[in-house]
Amino acid sequence: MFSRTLSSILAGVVAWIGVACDRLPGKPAPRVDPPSLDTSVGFAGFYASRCAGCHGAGGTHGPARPLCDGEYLASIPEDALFQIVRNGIAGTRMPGFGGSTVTGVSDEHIRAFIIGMKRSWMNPPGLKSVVPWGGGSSDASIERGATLFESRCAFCHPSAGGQALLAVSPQGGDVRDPFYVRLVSDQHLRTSIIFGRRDLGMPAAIDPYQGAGGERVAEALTTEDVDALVAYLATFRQASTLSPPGNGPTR
Amino acid sequence: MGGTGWKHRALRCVHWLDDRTGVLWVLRHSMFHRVPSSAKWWYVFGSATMMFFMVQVASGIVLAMFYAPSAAQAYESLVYINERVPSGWMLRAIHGWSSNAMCLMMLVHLVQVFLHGTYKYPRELTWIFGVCLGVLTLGLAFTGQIMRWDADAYWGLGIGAAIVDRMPVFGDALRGIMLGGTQISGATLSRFFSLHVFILPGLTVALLGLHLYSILRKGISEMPKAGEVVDPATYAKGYEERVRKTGVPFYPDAARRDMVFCGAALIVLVGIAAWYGPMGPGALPDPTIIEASPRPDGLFLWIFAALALLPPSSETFLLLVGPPVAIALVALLPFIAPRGERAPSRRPLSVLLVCVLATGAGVLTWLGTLSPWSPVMDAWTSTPVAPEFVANRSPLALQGALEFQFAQCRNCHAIGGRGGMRGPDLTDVATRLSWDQLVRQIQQGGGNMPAYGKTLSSAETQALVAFLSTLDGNALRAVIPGAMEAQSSPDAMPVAAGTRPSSGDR
Repeated sequence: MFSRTLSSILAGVVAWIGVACDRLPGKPAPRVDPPSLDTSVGFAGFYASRCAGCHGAGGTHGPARPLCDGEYLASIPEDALFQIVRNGIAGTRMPGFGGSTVTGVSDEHIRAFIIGMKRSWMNPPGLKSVVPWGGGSSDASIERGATLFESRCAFCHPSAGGQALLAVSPQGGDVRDPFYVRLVSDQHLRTSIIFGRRDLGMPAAIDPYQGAGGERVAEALTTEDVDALVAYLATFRQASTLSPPGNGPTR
Repeated sequence: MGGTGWKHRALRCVHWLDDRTGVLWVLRHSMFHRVPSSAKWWYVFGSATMMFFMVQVASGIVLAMFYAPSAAQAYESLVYINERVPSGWMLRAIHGWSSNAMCLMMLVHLVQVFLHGTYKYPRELTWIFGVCLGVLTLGLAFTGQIMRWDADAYWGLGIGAAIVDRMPVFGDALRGIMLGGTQISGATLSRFFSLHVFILPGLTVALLGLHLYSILRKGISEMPKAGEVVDPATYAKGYEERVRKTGVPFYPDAARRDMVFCGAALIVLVGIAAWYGPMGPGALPDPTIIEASPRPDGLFLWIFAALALLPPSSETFLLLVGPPVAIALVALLPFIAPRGERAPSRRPLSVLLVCVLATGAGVLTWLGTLSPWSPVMDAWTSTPVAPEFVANRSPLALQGALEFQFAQCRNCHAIGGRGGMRGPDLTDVATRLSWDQLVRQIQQGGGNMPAYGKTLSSAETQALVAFLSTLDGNALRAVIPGAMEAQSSPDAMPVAAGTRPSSGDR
């Protein structure tokens, strides 16, 4: 009796395994080719493995430029973006991901990646910045830049070794720090001024800003303003890195 | 009438076979020999090990019909078995998991035999054959891992070859024999295939025969009892007498327990195989992918951890001398302790030894899973700097965060609990090191950290230190609802974060 029950149970189990074999949880999923980089899924995977470390998860709140910024993506010329991803930016910490490096990515992949990025993050499409992404004028007035800086930037970006920052909130830190300016390109300065760091609270060129007294001012920066500001900030590359005695913060 | 005729003819055949081979005597003796009646559930593990081996042989034969042992096709053929062969994935799962189960059962069997002192007189040879079977089983498991021919197999072979290469005098030649050339290639796979499919299973079957024969010849031991001492002068006679008087036939009395346990183990095996599926194949082998973190299967994780943690100066010696000496010691145990008490309660040293080894292997396996000594090679591009370490930072500190990623500090140092574990977590480094100490540590290295003085410019170092000096652990503050609001106000964030001290004192 017992053995008959046992046999029927066993037969049932075997039959169940036979029938359900295709639906068991251990069955490996069929191998599929990785999604193309020009789709949002393919783009997200590639971005997470190679870009998120510096540009932040989801394209914002990283130490490097936020890429989830429709205005930035619409304004930067396609070829410039391609060159940056492929070859990096010399003199800065943006590495090139294409070319002949060991983990190199083909040019087609980079183009698909850019399409995927714009599909994912350029929304709505076609919203360009008033000030062009690139360019810059060699005869921009440094004095004009200095004046502009004092009236439009210095409230959040005061100078002098950081001591003046202590009571200010929100504050953006010293952008005239010679060490900082030496580490970034003019284009980086220009991009930061035009597009801001809205994820960290820094306004873009068209956004309202805090005036010299902390008051809210709604007056967009023009192309000449941006050129002048970049020219002014670039002068700090040559500045001495020795602060005047007694000017440092107490730590 | 016809039925009787068939029966008669069949019996004549059996008699003919028995006359020529003696098979009936062998069967009768092995099935109905008397075993001690005290041998109960503790004695099932050896049978279960053998059962798993038989499962391996059966599933392995079918797998070998589909597997292509060539470097170009091995991987594809595994995918083919997984996806195209009806229930092929299940077969691979059963083969892989029964390998683990066999190793596990073997280990339990070994520990049981050791703790019960069964290896003592007169079962020395049984023990030695068993130890050899254990080594073969590990060999089968390792070579089986190579059959997957994925990135893990590739790196496993690389590490194996590096170990062999360290052998003095013969190192080069042995590596050549192992790999079938100077590097891992199709010849390597062919060699490991023949080891896995012909040589090792053949040796295992032969040794298993000897193991079983010596069990039949000297009988299985009784359950140990405190006070019953093994004395070679009197043991054999006493054992035979006791078995004749109180013993029971192997079949059905003892075999029943074996069958019940093996049946249950088989059901569990099929369940695990159905639930967890086959092992691998993982990523394709690619020598140019330097991000791969080679890690062996669970069974070998403790060896992997031990190798990583050994002081480098002793590595070669311990790698080459340690395993042979350890195996020889275990194999010669019956000659080291041939007599005396068998009961674990009277052999505290043996129990302690098992406890220490089990704890050691457990801890090493756990460490092997974590492998905190390995840098996380892709952390610098794929592990984001969390928003709380970016907010309220000066532009220089933000550049420092970029340096932190770009210089691959993240691969060894975690912040916010994410990143490598090779170096200390830096989430609150600013509370431990001053600005100047940070500069010195980065430029000169020290304490297992390389010096970056020559690779980072002064501006880059300043930026990095500006960022590190903002890491004061605030992001780690304990959050107790309703209790900590006062401390977690924005003022508590590092104000003027990333600003450096007066340059005058640098």
